[in-house]
Amino acid sequence: MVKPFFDTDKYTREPASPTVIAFHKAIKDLVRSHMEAGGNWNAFVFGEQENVVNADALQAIEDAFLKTGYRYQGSAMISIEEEPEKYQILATATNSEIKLPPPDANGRILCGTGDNVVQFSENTVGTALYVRTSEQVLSLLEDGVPDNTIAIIDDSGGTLTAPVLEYFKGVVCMGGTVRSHLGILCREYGIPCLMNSGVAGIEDGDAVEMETSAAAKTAEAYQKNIEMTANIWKQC
Amino acid sequence: MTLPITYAQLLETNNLVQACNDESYWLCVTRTVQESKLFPVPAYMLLSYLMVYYRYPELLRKIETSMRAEDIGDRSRNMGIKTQASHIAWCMPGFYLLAREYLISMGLIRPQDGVEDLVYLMDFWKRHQLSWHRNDGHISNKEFGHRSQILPERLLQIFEADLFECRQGDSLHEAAMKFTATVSQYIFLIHCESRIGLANTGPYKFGDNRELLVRDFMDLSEGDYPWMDGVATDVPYNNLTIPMVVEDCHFYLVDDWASFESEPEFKAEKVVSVGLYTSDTLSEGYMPVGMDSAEELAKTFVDLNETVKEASAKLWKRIAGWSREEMMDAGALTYFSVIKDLAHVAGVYEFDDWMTIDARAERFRPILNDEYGRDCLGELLGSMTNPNQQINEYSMMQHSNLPQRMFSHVPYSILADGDFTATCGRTQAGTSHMSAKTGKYRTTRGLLDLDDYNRLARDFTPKVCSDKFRFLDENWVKYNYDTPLADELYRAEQESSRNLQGKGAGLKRVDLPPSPPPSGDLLALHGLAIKKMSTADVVADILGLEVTDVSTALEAAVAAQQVAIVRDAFMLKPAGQAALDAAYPKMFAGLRASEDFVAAYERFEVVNNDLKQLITDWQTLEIAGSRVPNDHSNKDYDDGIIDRLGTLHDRAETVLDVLALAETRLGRYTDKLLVALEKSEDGETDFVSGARVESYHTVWFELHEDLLRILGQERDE
Repeated sequence: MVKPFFDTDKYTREPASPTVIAFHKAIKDLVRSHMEAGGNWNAFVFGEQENVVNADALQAIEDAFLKTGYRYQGSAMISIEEEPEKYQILATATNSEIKLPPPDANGRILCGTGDNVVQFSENTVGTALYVRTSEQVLSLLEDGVPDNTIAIIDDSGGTLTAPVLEYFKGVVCMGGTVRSHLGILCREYGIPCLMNSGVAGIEDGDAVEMETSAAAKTAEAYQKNIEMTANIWKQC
Repeated sequence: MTLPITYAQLLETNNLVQACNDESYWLCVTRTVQESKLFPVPAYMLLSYLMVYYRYPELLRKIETSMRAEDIGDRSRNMGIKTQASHIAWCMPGFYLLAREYLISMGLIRPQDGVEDLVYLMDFWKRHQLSWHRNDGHISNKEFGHRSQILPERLLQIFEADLFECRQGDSLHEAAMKFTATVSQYIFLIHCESRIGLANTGPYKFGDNRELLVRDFMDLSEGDYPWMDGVATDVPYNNLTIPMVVEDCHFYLVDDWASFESEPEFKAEKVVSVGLYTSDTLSEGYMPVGMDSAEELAKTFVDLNETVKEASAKLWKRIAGWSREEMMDAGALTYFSVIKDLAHVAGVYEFDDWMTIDARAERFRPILNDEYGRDCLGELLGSMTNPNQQINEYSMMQHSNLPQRMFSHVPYSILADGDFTATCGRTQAGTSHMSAKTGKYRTTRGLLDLDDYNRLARDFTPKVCSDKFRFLDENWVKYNYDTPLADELYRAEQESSRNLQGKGAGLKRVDLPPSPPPSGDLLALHGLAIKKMSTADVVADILGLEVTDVSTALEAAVAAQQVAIVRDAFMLKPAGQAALDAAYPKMFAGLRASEDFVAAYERFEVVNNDLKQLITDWQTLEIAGSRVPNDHSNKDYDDGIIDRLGTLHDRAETVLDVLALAETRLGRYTDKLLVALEKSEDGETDFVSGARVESYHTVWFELHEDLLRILGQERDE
């Protein structure tokens, strides 16, 4: 009986995330059973493995995992749409549940921060609009983007908002870094943009101000974890 | 079994693996793991890595049956296709090593499995990289301190001589910037939310305060990706290269992912000259596109912008209708095929090799949900928290100082015990959920079917890559530039150059023809701003330019939304005014800095006050203490005023001469003032202050407006 290589590892550790732990453990169990049943590694690795760890076996691993009641966090809309039974339903906090700080001397309430992509001489003021679905983008494409729209976008890719991006006055993106695709695109278009943002208490139609006069976040700041953020305010 | 791999080879392989190791961590740490609302990006990335693991070694071997890696590297230096950074520079080894580590983390292979594949792939990478980087002598941008100076002098000279100067606000600048933004976005969409269709190389020194960055935009038309069939048919170029010169902006970082950083920040206003080229494996290097004049180039950018915008909208709608499986496939195929252009250069591209998913990768699809994709990728290349990525506790990884290693080394024990496997084996049949490829392949020789494309590629060698020239490197040129052979090499590259055709090898930077000043566009806009609303011939007359040039410039400005056409005349729009306001400080920097010019302007203002009084006296009479309109019935009174105008003109001339000495075209006002004065003296009294003719006052007023704009002053009245 041959012990699989991964069962002897001086510096081993468990992976960090639940799906990785579960799937990799289950795959290793398949490998271990095969080896314990007298498998030969060299015959297995680029040969028998394709029958042992095949699509059916991997599907069975997923089925067993989902039977525990676990539901995945989705990121692409299509994944949740096509297989809603496998994914968590996203709960969004309503604004009444969020406690915001009092207004500052300029009558603004601090609602969040982000990483500034390009430093402009002035802050950017406009009207907040969450852009989340391709249906929404399609209607913006057909009806036009209202003037002064500051788009609040969840993902750091540029494709969801691709056809309408250039018409936004500003972009607040909840993910990514200043070097992400959306950051690159906004830089090309000269659109004020904050990446890696966190906002709370902003609703569609609110007048918001992005602190685009703040310094742009540098690669060094990311690497060394230096705090370098720009503020996002709501005007009250 | 006999080991074909030596200790020295294995040492080198592990070193190359480690180089990718350190740099991959650095590249990943400044970006968060990619997530998208549209595409399941991390999930398709994992699928693509697995495809890479099982197919690259064999496909690379197939490529080398036609052309060696280092020979392809020679070709790669001469065109903007996907054989550069990030494609070969990082993706080829990066994807393969990530796949290997991923499979190790699942317990499906050991670090000593597929060793010959690994040694071969890293060696292919090394040979291509060293050849591609031949002129700067490095293996990667990382090794060069994040820089890539790929191009030879002969091509950089052509760029310097042929690019067109532009300034923020002029129509070329505006059109070029708009196009780079639109095409970048189009590229992210084509490539399923990834940046692999964009490349940046450089920087190159272009004088004291200028640097060149070469920007490539690839796979824009119908070609390898079946999803471009029908949506990109009208895009006339598959690859475009925009060499871009910036002023007062230093690119201190250009990495192996082809991203750049600069100090101060790169902004559109830093760009001071641009060009446009296309290239592919069938072209003699970079072929100019719309490069006969600045106006033609601006128009080309405007037209391409529209074409790409339309293709973008069509593609976006197509993608919005895809199923998750189609999105997974398109993304995985895009990533996997990032090095496919190697096969095009070698003329051995086959659709099934590059656009189908190998069964050994396909089997993993059931576990590739969004969350697993995100977390598994994050653990592999971010937190490195897989068991196989941990090493002894005294270790300090570069950048992170943690006892981790993104990519496992091959154990040297295999040299003693022979316990390893050589290769993952032959390519297996693949599948795809994408629609079948129906369109043709856009090349610099038109739309081709694949067989012709491959055949032409196999039969073609660009002149500068021919046996006669391929080893005549920069070092050889240094000591042999005065030979007929060097001239021949330079002339081969210069064939399609507007300014350097036939010039040969002897030129240095100082010998290049001076760049023409920023195109006439801005001056035409400036002329229109003075005339307010007028036709091209009137604007041309005031500026002393050709009517056709002004007409072309104003038409381009109409396309750029800077000028409107109202009742057959041109009129400046607010955007045109804003463009001028932005451009004036640089446009007239010399005049604003000239003490003589500014002093002359101040004297002009004094004369101006006198002229205003004189015109008032011309238009009105003082009768019994009150001013009444001059009905010009008192000839003596009028002659007296015209005499005064003659005297004033004599005083003005000394000022006007100084102004015209500094800015020649201002001399046209002096001529026109003299004509108006003479006509007034000859009895055509309308030429003193008439508003409908080029009267003395009209011309004077326009000159005043011109001077105020030149110096950035407000009219004080």
